[in-house]
Amino acid sequence: MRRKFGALSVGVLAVALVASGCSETTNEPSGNSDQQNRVQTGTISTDPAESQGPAKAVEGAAKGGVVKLLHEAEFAHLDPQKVYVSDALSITTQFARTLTGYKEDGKGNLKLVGDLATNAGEDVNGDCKVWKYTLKDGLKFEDGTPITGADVVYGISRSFDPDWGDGPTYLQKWLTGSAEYNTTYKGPFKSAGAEVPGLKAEGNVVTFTFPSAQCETPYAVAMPTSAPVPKAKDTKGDYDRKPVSSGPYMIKEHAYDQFIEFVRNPNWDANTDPIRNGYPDGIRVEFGITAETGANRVVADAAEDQTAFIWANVPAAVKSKTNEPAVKARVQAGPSQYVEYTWINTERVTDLKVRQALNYIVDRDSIVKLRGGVDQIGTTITSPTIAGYQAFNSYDGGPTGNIDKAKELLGNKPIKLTYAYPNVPVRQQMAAATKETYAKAGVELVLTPLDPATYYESVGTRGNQYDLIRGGWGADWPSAATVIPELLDGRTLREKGNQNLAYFNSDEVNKEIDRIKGLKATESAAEWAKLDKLIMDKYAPLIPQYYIGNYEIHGSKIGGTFLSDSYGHMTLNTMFVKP
Amino acid sequence: MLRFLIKRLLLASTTLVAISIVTFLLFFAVPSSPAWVMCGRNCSPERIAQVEKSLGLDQPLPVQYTEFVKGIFVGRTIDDAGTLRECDAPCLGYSFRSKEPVTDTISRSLPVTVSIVVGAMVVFLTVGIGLGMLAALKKGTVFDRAAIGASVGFASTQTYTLGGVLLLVFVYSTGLLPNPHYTPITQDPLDWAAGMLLPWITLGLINSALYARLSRAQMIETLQEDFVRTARAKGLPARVVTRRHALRAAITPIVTIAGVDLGGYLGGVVITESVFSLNGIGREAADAVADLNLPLVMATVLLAAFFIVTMNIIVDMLYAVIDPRVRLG
Repeated sequence: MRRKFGALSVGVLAVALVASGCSETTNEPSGNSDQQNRVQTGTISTDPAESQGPAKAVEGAAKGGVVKLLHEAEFAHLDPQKVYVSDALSITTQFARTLTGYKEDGKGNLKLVGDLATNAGEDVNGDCKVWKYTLKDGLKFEDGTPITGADVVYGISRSFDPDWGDGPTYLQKWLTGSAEYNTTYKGPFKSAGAEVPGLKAEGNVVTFTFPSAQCETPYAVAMPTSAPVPKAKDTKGDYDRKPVSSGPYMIKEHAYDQFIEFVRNPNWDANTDPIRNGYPDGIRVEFGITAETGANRVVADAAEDQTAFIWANVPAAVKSKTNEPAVKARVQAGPSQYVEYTWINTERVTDLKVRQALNYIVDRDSIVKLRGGVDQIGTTITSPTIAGYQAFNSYDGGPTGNIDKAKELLGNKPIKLTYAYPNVPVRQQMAAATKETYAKAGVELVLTPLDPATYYESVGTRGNQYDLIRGGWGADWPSAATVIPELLDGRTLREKGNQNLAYFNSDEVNKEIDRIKGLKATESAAEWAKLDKLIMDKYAPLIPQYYIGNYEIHGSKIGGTFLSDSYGHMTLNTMFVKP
Repeated sequence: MLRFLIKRLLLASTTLVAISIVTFLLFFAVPSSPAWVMCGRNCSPERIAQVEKSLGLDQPLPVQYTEFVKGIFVGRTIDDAGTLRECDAPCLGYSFRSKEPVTDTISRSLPVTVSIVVGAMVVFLTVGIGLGMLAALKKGTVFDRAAIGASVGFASTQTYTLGGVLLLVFVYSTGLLPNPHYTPITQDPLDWAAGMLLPWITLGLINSALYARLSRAQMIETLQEDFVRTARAKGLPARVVTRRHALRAAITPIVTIAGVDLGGYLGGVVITESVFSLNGIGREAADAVADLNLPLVMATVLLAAFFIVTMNIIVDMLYAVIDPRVRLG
């Protein structure tokens, strides 16, 4: 899964979380008043014309100006093969083009088209095992050298390095057919001269040959793993500071922890690019500006900040200032691909009725309010940004829960459960509220706050002593294939480092996962939605809580942008500076 | 004097070595690994082991410490995930997060902190000592009460309160001042001062309160000393008595405190830096701890300790200059 900048990460932002947590209470009247309800209608393009550049012009847009991102902390990575956090993924789209990419209109229409490639991918034998990508003509790196299939293969090969592994690992696992993908081939530095398993480049054609069907390949190659890297200019560890651009912007200066200055890449040809308009003359990223300061500055809209924007939610302390219509017009709000759960450890809470009762009790309304009212009540495993999403609630107790129904399922017997969560202020408040709600149904929660730095280490160890576990998940692309199999395939359970925090293992579900994985992406979307409902109806291994919402703001001179459904932040693809 | 200095320097280096060892041990006593912080949750035990190996954390503690010390004096080669990096002396290691020599991180963030601290000190020493002395000379008057009352008020506010209010009034609402920012003084001295103005005022005002109260008390006490009475009795003008005799005696303890404060602040003013979004050494240190970024933790802790130890030595030596009663032997 992908970590969300600022929401789920622990390290760099632990201090910030603690600081902002103090102010995360508010008196918002309703939990989801700020949401525009959008349902994702994402599809994979089948018409090659949609993959052709240039991108459709944005109404009223003009070239010129510099947009300014006010950002809390330096990006975890900029090396396309290492990038994985939402903010870095969003900026990477502007300098690292990928085989495919997302074309969006801001109205929920998201289409996966060919970016470097002429189309979203050719399933050569119709069995999803061999995928062919042909690169467009006229593609160049920032230094003017042409981009070839070999550069794409070289880029992907770097992601195999055992010392890296920070980026997504889908392609590597699929190509080798193994979760331990780098036991034989270890990337271009440690296995110099060796061929990347299953990957070939001939001129402008890149071919992937997978040992098993991978019908979601078009999505997987939209991640920056497939970004081309020129071997001659690969500075290895230092590439992370100054990657070579294939997109509309390139790095002119990068002062770590202080700023990055992106300028136009003269060798980017708009006619090859169906996604990016490249309106501004440059992008300046300034680091060390907390979400609160950034939001305050953008709300104030002083001359120097009129072209500024933030890639973080407006904190509760500043949010009330955005209610003024003129300011509200500059806010972009909507659901993200991140869903928050309370996992129920099924190896400990074995009684289905208890798990169902726990689902009835939950008071989502109060939790969403505690979080500042930006999120949307959630009752499904997958988020509304996922293709094929179906809204349902298997245990509908209303927004504040149904205590009577829960008591009935529990047979009016009191029970005692442990509840694990990271020990940060907002989680403490949420835990206290949850304990109170559960007590009404005779469920005594024993709160066990854990060190945020080692939280996942503790709860991801099989045989832990926690009955209920706080967790969350974000899809890597708008398909449930990066959610349900990653979270609930019981065959992946191991001693340590589990993502399946319900420790849930059902033959029926595992078989369904295999069946749906073999379907074409167009057919699988509806099937995943059915499986989502089946798991909740029949097994209730978790309690969906809310869909994490985005609430970002930009200055008055910025136009053309909207929340991207692919990476969750305001998109740079269509952003422009108003004259 | 020389013997005193040598003695103090030896003591200072022993202190620094002790601090470095304790920090090192504390770091490994924490029940967590930087590898966990670095790979988030999408991590397998194999990858953790791999990351620890690439950071050199799989080596025995004494080996790691020896390497660290060796780096400081003769430099060393660091294997950063397959990329060999030459780290010249004084090498404090490579930051786990930014993958740059820690000395680069320090040289980037230290000027920011120095700018904040030096400017703020000018504010609180002039305002604080000035007010305190005047209040002492006009003891019991309305001015005295007002000055000391105001100083109590400022002393009770906090950087994040005063800073937040100032930001709101001067930057967000009226736009009278630019957003606090750092421009190197060598590049544009005016812009440097403009960007630092709010931190100077905030940190300066809050600290001037302490200095005002302290210097008032010292001055009042000194004015009652025998030698002041003698000076007056000799018929010296009041101005000479206060300036040349009383002030010099009264200021001695203030120099001590100012010196130690300077040493402490140079190690980082985390809250001020955070409130004004300035990337100084304090924020780097706080982030380094949160990231379990050992090389940077070591460097910032040692640097802070170095400043304090050094300032203490300087203060002791200044004593000899200021206070005729002190002779270093």
